[in-house]
Amino acid sequence: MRFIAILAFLSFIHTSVSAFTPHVANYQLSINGLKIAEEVRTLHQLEDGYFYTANANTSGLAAMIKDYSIAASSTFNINDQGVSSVAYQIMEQEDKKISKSYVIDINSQSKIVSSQLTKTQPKINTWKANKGNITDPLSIFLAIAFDLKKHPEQTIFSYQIADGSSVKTQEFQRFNNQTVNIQGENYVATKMARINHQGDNIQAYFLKEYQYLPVLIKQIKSGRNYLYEITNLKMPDIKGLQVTL
Amino acid sequence: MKGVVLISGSGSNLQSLIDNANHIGLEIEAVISNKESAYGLERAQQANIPIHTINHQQFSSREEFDQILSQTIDQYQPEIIILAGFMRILTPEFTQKYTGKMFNIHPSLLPKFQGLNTHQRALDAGESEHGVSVHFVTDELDGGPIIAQSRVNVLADDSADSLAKRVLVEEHKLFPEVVHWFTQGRLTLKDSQAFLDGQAL
Repeated sequence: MRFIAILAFLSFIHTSVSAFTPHVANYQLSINGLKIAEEVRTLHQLEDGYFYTANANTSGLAAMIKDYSIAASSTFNINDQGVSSVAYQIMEQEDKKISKSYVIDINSQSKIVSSQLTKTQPKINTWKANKGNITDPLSIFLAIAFDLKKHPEQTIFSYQIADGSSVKTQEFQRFNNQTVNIQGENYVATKMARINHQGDNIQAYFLKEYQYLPVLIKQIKSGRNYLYEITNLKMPDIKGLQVTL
Repeated sequence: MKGVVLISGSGSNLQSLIDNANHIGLEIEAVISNKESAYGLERAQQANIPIHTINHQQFSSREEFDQILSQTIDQYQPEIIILAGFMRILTPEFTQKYTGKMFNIHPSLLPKFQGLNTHQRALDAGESEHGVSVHFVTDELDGGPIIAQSRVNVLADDSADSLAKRVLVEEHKLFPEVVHWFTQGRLTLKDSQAFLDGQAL
């Protein structure tokens, strides 16, 4: 019995430790085919979890029209159900002025999400979630990557996502591998699409050989086509892996 | 001027305040920590300053914790309350009670990088400059009126630790200076705006 308990414990530790490799991924954001911004997503391993940041700034022609930046971060850990967020914050600035800033604390165990007071969030809000893990708009894609790896036979995945204005459950479906073109090269990727959702559509493509990190994200939002395309990936812990896609 | 300092950790900013207390006109009446293990408590004891530990984990709500914290502070009737690495979010009721006389030091060039892990976030964002801000505390997270900032250049080979060390040097210079402005009566808060010598900052 004790041996089984130790095995279970070791298995949990292994899951926590090896879930993700720290990395830096660069993405190009285009809207309706026009290159708008560059985004860098960086994953750090902490003693008891992970810290994930995303920083985007307008680039190219768009930067001449508007100075726009986003800085977001997520702290999360891994439990037997997958990715579980602890905190999330995002700040958007337009022409150096804060246009959106919110900070939320997430507690999956007590099923509570609460906001902190910021410039654009002048009231403390608390949201009640359902049983199970809660993710956030940044760590959701790593949550999917984790589940794709851990549950190769599963096709439907459900997530509670807290975004500072609500906690909503979203479902994603795995489709057969598809060939996608990234930076002029073809790759075979696992496709996931949001289902049972009215309104904006999301499709994301994950590469198995790169720990199922998302390489292409397509989103239709308010009638506009958003495209996130990975351009570079660095995983220093894997023999100095650096891939330019 | 009578002051109370709130800490959660090593208290290196507390030490700089203790070291500079005489010439900045600050009498530190007490040091309060929400963690028993905070090394800053030892620093206070070595300087013969009364200490209090109020473990936030023993309270079921922020409101309860803040109430006890407030009672502990009030027994010293301080004119200034200094958050020197105090890692707790305070309730609006608490911050409003001490508006205009409570200060916080935050390791970033606010409004950038409010909250935690500021050095790593500055590196991840590719910032060329980073630094420290001292601000009046309001109910917004690291969002009160900024009083002063000190900048350091981000170096190509910086890690979060190396950057933090250089920012800390600036923290130890900036915080006593701002406290001194306040003890001299030169620094005020009016209509959510910080003023030094009557000039808006």
